[in-house]
Amino acid sequence: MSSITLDLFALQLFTGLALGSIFVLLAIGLSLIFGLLNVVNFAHGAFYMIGAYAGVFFLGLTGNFWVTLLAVPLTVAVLGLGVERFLVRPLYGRGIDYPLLLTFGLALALVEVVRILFGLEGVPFDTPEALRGAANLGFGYFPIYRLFIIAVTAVLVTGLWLFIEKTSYGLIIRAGALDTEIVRVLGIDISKVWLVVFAIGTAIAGLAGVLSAPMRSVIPDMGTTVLVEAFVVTVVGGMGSLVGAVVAGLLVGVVVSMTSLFWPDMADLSMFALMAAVLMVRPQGLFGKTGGLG
Amino acid sequence: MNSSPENTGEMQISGRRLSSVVRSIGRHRVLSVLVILFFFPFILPYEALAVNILIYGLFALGFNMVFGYLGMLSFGHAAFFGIGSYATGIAMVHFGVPWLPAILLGILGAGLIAMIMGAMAIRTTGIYFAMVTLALAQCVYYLIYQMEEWSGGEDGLTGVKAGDIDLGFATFSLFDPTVKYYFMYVFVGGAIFFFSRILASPFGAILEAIRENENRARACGYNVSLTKWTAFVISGLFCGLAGALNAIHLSVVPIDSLHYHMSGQAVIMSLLGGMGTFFGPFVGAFAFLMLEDVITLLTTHWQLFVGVIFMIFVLFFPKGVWGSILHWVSR
Amino acid sequence: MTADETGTPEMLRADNITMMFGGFTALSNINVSFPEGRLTAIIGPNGAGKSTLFNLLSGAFPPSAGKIFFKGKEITGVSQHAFARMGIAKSFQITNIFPQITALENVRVAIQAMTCRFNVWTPRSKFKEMTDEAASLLEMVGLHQHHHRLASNLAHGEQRALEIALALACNPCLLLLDEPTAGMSPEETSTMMDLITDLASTRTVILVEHKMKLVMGISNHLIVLHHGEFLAEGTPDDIRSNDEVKRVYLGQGAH
Repeated sequence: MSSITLDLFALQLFTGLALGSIFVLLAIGLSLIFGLLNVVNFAHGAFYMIGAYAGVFFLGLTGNFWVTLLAVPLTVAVLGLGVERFLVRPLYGRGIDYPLLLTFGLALALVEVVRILFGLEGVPFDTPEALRGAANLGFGYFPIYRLFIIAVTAVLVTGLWLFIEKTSYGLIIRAGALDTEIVRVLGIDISKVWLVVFAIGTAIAGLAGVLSAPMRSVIPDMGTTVLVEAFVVTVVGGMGSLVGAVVAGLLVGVVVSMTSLFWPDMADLSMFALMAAVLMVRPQGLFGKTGGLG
Repeated sequence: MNSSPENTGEMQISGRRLSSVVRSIGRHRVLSVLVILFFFPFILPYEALAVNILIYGLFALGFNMVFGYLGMLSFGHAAFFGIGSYATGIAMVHFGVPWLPAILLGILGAGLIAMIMGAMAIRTTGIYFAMVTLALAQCVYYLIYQMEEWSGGEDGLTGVKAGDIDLGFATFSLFDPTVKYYFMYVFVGGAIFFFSRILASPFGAILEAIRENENRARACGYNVSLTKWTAFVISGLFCGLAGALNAIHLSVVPIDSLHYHMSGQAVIMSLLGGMGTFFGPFVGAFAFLMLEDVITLLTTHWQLFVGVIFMIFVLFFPKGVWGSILHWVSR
Repeated sequence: MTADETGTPEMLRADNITMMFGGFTALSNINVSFPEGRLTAIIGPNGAGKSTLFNLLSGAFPPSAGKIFFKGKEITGVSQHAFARMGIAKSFQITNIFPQITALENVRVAIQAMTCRFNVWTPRSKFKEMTDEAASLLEMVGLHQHHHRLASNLAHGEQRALEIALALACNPCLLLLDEPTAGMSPEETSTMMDLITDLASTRTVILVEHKMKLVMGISNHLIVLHHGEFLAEGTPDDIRSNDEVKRVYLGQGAH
């Protein structure tokens, strides 16, 4: 009897990790953009949604999931470049709220554009052949696709960590997050760095979108709920902290997953309860600090 | 500008006349708003639009205390509007409470939510505040969504009927759109008066000081966190009234009253009208709802227009309609 | 509590203050005391920890270790907003005024902090005493012609003067000034110095400055910091003839 419950527990844990992986991807993008640009991207959910729809498009075009997986972040990155360069950048001097407000308006517009192009109904996205089925993890069968998501996230997080901590470009990003002026004084064109970081942040959101597509319904509104989840994770982890994004993402995923096992009605609310607890005890988030990226 | 002396003179005179009109409107601001709103039903094509402008104008007014005057961007004000609606609606539908106490319950309910949300959110600063308030308000959304027996869940709360307003000496039916408008007008007018008093009070000055320089306000002796929390709660009370009136107006409470898109509407209307100005919220509500009315006649893709228009204002007209007028006049 | 042999009551005292920011020690084991009525200047080369000490004494944040006493009562860790109400006021090194508000209103709202913090009903216009007091403070700092100008439109020196007026609004018995002449022209500096000397005749003043010549002229007492540690203290003559102080400032461009 207890071994069954333990197996179920372990399975649900893995489900939580898969769910959490998507949260990690979203939170990393948000924190990256906030850490360097001091912008809370209210369009992050919209970029996620566009990633999913771009996935539908490329899959329809090429029939190849792996090509799609590569093409989507690139496409979303291009969109992100345009948005940063022409919409967000003019607002930097103005006051901290303006970029946020702009991205909010952008989100509304983007969702409606997708509605116009793809209609209101959901669009199907099948799990790729190679990743169907379930693997025996010892304590039970777990969908291969979800293992894939966990793996992709792990690879991306590691790659991003290496990039930020070990490369000279990453050093520039970290320095820029602490003090924009210093980077400028050193003769580095900080505006190019902003472009790159915004593009990377949105690209990761797009990746999260296309990865989610086989699991969730691809509808224009899918970004709306996801934005809230991304915010909750970021509040828990601490804004601007990549470590926080990873820890909080997985933590929230596991908490939601576990709650749906023991108390299904409260599953949606469990992440808010966690967030409220963190706010009361440590309002800056588990790993939050007042400045910098790390 | 190559204009002949007489032309510039004419422009100056009409400019001066306009600015003096604007200035005298400013001095008697409560009266001006009340007069304009009194005659609203006669200016607008139909009463429902006028009622909506009253209600959403009030919503934006309450929101503006925190956003325009205190300088804090909250994305959670839908919680106050929504709880105002639901508290009033639930009281009337499930408990048969008459309309007046029900409206009071709506206001108090919103105030209570504001106290709790405020206690959790005020400790965060800057842009963080927007995220936290959005998440907290969305939590309220999910909570109410779950409480299906009380709130109607996804379908919303139906059957909110105020019926007849019996004042003893006369009875009015809220089915008459004109009666409904003036019924709302009494409440909104009162709220506008209170709001104006608060802004003109010592507390009102503290809000602006905090917006201008929080650290300095603290060094001068103001408990900034407590003041922010108080302003947040007061703001919640006004938005709660707007929600309560909306429940009676629509006879239903849609679940979307609590969604962050509703919070976004308050933001949009405030910015469109002019943040931190007295008339801004109502100008913004008017502009927003009129635009929505006109554009939805032509297309179902109103949201695209909202998004684009809002972005244009953020980029090029951050002072909003009324704010830009004031700025132009003061030159 | 007496501060020294003359029996003057002690206004402010810091006991064994240490301040660490992450791994960096900004101040270690500072013991200083400020008797009532004295004008003390805290000086030291850049990086000495003057601003940190200033921030600790004025309540910006609590020390990592040690205690602070005001008129004999411990105030370590008391929140910033309580300081003005206790009678401790400060001016900031980087001008910290209310930009989009008129000069008069700047001072009036500072005065209001002492009496009216949660009145949401009475119109401000009824409180004429506050406006009058604000006007007289503006006059004291030489801004009587600028009542209705937006603070952001004032010249730099005028803004520094407004900074002082804001500090005076709470009628403080202890005034902490952080580099009050920062960025000022020689005439503005001289006016400011006269004002400070004037204020020091009725209040206890603590001044942070890095311009040695300025403070030598007006201070009763000097405290010298170096690398976050206490170096020396004494009258201007004592400090002038102190070899260690001279060594520390040598090559620092003391002027």
